[in-house]
Amino acid sequence: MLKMSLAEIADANENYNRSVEASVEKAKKDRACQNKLQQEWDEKLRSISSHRLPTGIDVPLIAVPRMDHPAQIARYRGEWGFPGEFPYGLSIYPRTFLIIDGKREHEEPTRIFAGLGSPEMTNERFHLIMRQQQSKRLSTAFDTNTLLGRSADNPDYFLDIGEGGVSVSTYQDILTLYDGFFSDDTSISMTINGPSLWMTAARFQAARERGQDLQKIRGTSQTDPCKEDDAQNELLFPLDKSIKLAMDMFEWCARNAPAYYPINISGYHIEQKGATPIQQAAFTLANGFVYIDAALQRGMNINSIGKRLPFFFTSGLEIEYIALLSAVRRIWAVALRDVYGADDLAAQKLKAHVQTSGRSLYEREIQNNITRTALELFHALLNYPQALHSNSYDEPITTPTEGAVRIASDAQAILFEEMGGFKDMMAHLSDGSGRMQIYHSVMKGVLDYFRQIDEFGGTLQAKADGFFRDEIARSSTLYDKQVHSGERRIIAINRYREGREENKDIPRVEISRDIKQKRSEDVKRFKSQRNPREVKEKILQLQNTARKDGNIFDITLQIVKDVTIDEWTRALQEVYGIYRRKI
Amino acid sequence: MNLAEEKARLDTLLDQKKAELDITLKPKQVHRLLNEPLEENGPTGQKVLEQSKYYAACLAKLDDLPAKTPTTVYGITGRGGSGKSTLLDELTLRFFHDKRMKNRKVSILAVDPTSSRSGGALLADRIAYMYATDKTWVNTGRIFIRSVASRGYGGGIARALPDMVKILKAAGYDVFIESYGTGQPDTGITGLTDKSIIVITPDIGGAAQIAKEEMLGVPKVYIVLNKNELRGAKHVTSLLQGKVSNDRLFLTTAIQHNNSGVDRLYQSLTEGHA
Repeated sequence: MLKMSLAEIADANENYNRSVEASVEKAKKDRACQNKLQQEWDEKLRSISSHRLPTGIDVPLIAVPRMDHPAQIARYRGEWGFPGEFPYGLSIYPRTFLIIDGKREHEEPTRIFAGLGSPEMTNERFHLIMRQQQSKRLSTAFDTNTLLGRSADNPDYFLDIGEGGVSVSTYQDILTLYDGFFSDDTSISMTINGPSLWMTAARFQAARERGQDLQKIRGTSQTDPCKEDDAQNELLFPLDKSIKLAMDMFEWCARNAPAYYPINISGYHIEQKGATPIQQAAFTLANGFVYIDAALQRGMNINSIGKRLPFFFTSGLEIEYIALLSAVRRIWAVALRDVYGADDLAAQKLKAHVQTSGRSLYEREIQNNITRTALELFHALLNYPQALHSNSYDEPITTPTEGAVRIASDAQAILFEEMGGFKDMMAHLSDGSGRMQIYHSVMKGVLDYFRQIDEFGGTLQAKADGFFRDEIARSSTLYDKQVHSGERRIIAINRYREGREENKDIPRVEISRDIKQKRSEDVKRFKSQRNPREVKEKILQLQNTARKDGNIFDITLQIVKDVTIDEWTRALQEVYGIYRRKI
Repeated sequence: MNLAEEKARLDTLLDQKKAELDITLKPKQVHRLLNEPLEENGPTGQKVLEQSKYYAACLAKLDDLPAKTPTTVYGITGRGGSGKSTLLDELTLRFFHDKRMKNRKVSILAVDPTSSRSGGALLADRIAYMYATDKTWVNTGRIFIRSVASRGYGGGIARALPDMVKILKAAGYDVFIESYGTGQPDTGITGLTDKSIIVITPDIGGAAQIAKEEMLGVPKVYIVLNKNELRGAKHVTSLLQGKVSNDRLFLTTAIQHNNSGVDRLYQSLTEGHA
């Protein structure tokens, strides 16, 4: 079956780079070519309309450089492309972030991550966030128990209930958690991997029951087992089985919930674990190609696959982030078009959610984190991502408090609505020489990694041999050394440290014993109200489907109302085994 | 509970010299008893002396006990990274599921080398024990795990190991000793064990290297070629087949769930259990 090597993808990208150089050379000499380029350029410029800003000046909707020679045109188009044009160096859409005549063409990218304590508490927080943002986009953080497929009635993990995210164990919990948000225009994101099929099935089933049409349901779940293996370790089943499960849901959704994104290929955690920006880009793309190959092996069409694989990256303070997303977009687009043969433009366009870096935040002089986050947002915007999360400044010490979440959300609104620039003119800072330099450095770094990974015999083998984890660990150690030695300057940490006070009076979110106790009892009650024979029967159905290699998402959807997250996990672990953490 | 109370309690227990000691000795008490030999060369001075005297008395009493439950001591050795811990974990899972074993308990003593530079030991084996540390099984009281630092004692063995094995056997546990190194006969753990397993991998090298593996020549040792899916496995298998009989040779991929090679090894190790 079709399986592409990373070396082929690196070759294709280098071929593309050479073709750009060749087109520039041709434009220097070839008269006909020059005329054609100039003609197209003039046409394009004529098609770009202007609008008047509140200060009274008129600006074009897209910033385009002045060209003194057709060779420059050839370079611009080959390297960047107009916004929305291959290779998508500037943007995958032509009008992202623009506000024209008081209206926004695209949905606002704001997507604030929240989750704490019980489903009731988190539901309340969701309603608060929705009052503060225009777009109807929610993002859910789950507690460790939930991420590991444990239910809240398990006494062994009582203290973890609701810490750092919401506790969800039963179908009833999902109904409570998303109460008020079962509507077609609400997009719900769920940051969950191991029990992702259970969680998504529960949401789908609840949506159906509340009259929603799955053909229109919007949202996403993370379901990225590859990056779990690299960074998080929160897998429930061995990696190959976890990829199979992800693919079961991926295939099911392509047919039955086409607007839903069941997988989010995530670099964020890889970077947070210690990877350099380039490692983040390289490993995450490599993981993405694993999913493409797995989906192709199931006979899915590359155009359908390409459209359904969004990414999730960090934006940090390092200079690489001024063009990192642009670089991965180009590599992805070239691979999809030239290696995999995706001719649908939508399949070539890498869609990305970006989150500011949690690793860059510090406890000391904690309000500096607001500045860090704002600057990271700015780095992100230079790359035109599709969705954004800004961290709350108090995250180093607590689950974000309400006030801090508001400031984080406002930071985005200030950039999008208050500050002149992104709302006024597409790509107004995007084709500069600094971004060009970084763009190429990142691409080269990524392709170098592709060749190294290929030498192991591909991504999965490189992972099995510990290459990804070892590389990340090496970078993490180096980072710490640099902070320690002062080579990497961190304000109020290793620079201007004198006279700084520790922040003692920051409010913290506490999940009380009472809340945990109530959670535990709620789940116990849910379990006791079921017919044990029926539950056992349904669990057996699930296990039989797993033994016969059937579609697990399909059967999960049928049983999710009765089978809790821990029962689902346990049942499948009996068949598939438990994921062995890598050391 | 302070030391004196605990001592009095254990004294009473031991004085009864009853064969049901294997039932009455709870995991917590086993932990406490096992701490004694470990603390022997610890830094706490007088208290240690007193403890070790008391501990010596306990051990003497254990010696007098008739064994109610016959227990087996398994040794598992192999070079670092050969997959010993994973293999042992998979064997433990089979033990849990084995109906013949439902009245038996299993313990793991994982010996880690002490770094001569830092004086510490990594004690990392238990990270690989996914099933053996799974609360579902831990809560049944059928599994007991203890990491042991070698503290410079040779042969992949810790000084306290013989006493620890004695205590666990008295408490009715089957014992798995996981030890680093190649488990040389005489100096290694073979003297302590009823059954010895040596784990090797396909990257062991050619015929000359295999000839150097002393353990291969020891009769009745279970030879496991793990990571059997790796390149070179076929070649190493045929070299091994020239040296040991097929009923002692097991080809496994421990990392794979329900691996049939591990099944076969488990069956062979536990043969004869009614």
